[in-house]
Amino acid sequence: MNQELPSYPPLASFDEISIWKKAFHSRSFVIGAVLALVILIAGVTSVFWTPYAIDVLDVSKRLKPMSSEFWFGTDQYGRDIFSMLMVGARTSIIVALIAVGIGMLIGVPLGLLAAAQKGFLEELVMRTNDLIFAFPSLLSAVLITSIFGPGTINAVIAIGIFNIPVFARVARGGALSLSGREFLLAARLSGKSSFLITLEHVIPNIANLLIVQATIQLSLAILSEAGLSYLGLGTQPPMASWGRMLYEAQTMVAFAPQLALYPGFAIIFSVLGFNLLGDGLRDLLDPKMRRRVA
Amino acid sequence: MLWFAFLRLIGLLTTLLAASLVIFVVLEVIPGDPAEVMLGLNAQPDTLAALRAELGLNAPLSTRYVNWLLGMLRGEFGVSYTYSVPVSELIGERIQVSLPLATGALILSTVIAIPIGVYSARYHGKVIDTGIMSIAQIGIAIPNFWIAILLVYVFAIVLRVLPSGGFPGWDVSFFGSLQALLLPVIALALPQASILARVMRSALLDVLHEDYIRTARAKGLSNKATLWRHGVRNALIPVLTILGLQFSFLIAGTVIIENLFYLPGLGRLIFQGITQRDLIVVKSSVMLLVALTIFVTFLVDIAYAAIDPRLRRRA
Repeated sequence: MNQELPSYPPLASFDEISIWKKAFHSRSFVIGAVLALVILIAGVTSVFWTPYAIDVLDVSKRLKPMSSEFWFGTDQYGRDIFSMLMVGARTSIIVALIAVGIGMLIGVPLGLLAAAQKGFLEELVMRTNDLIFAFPSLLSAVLITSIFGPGTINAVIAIGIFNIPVFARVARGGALSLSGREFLLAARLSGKSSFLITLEHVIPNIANLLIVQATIQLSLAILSEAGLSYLGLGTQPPMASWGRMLYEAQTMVAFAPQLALYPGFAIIFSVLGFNLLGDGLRDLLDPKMRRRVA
Repeated sequence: MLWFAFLRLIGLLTTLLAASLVIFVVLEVIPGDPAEVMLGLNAQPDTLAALRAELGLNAPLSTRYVNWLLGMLRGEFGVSYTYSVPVSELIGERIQVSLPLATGALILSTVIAIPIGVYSARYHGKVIDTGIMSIAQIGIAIPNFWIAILLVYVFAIVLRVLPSGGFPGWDVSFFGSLQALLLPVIALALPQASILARVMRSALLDVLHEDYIRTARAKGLSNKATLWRHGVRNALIPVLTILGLQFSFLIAGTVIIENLFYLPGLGRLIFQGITQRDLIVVKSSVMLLVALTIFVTFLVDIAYAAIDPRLRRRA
């Protein structure tokens, strides 16, 4: 029996090729990635350059229509809407990234801890989670920003807090689904501490879940930031924010309804982008979850 | 089942207690002196002292917390500082706006979402399914306050058929009140309906792969009857969970929507209470909304266990 084993290409590169190939065939992924990229580029560019300065009010240029000079026209204070949308993209991205970052950095370790140390600690973490979930998120964000003062930083913290239980739950669920798997037992037999096992084996295996969840949380964070800024509790002028723009447009809606359209489209554009990206990533990274909605 | 309900009830009470503690700490301990918060920085020392005495702030924190809890149990929520009326009266008035608003939105979103979700699942993979789901995907991304602004523009400013805001009151004009709530209900319901339609579709698609669906078809039941009698009914379980979760979103959504439409509801009461620094109003109305959310979650848990006995063991 001298049969030769068939030769396979190395596993890692095979996976990589197929995942990129699939990525470009996934409509959700491609559309989502393009939308998210456009918002990202607009936001990053606004740091160095915008067509006009957004903190200069010039009433003589107020409510100009779309033109080659002002691409999307100007608002009631004579500010260039395109420039404001760019800065708004920056605000949205920064707030969303930091808020989701807070949620991940605190939530994931808590969730992993709860999964590793069953008993009292797990109970405590999960019940605290339930407690945070009991507070309607926007309501509490309103509460937090109004007590500690309105502003971008407090909005970030308020939104971040509500991301903690989400990531704790996902991390715990992911870790629990791995428990009892052979490679974890093998790692334990080789004498590794639970901390090291979590770091080297559990986290890489639940990374997919976390990335997908993070993408979805980004879009929720963008919506929350818009909501808070709309209420006047988030980003303060002269910084631009899509929510704030909508608030200012609302008073003008009878005379200049177009002002309310642009920021709305910007919000939809970016939220849709991150949602599609999340859906696409989920299909690519976790085929079992296909068709489900979070 | 009774044991399960009992355990969940204890969980409900502990969560309520913990929530009240969080609210108390956030509103009364962290800001330092509530009297100073309410009167602002330029308050005279004697007015401050008077307010402190009136609010019972000289008592130790633990006593104040317990008194607040006991007061709420007796239905006494204190007296609003800005309105000089009992908070219970304010809440009673405002809930007549918020409750119809939230339930109206919940009902409307369900009525829209379930047939659409079922229809989409039935034509799974066809053009119509892709189209509906693309619209739903966009619907999820739309902020309800943007829809609200557009609705106001179209129906109040261009067509002039509905009011752009305000609320006449049920006893003044019942029909007028209904009209006033129509646009807010639609604005709240549409994004939720998009989420719900997607959940309904995917839940139904999961169920349609089950063996009992094949059995139902094999025993000669028509496609339609199988879909509704065996498919939809079983798919409603995950939909119910999402509905419970959505209640919390709707409650939060009322804060923005009530502000936008100048509706005198609980959300606006809280928002105004915050801007006027009326901590007495804020404390109790937030507690009420949180209690409502916790209670709805509890009801969903119980309903879930009643439908699916396997879940009772997990208590």
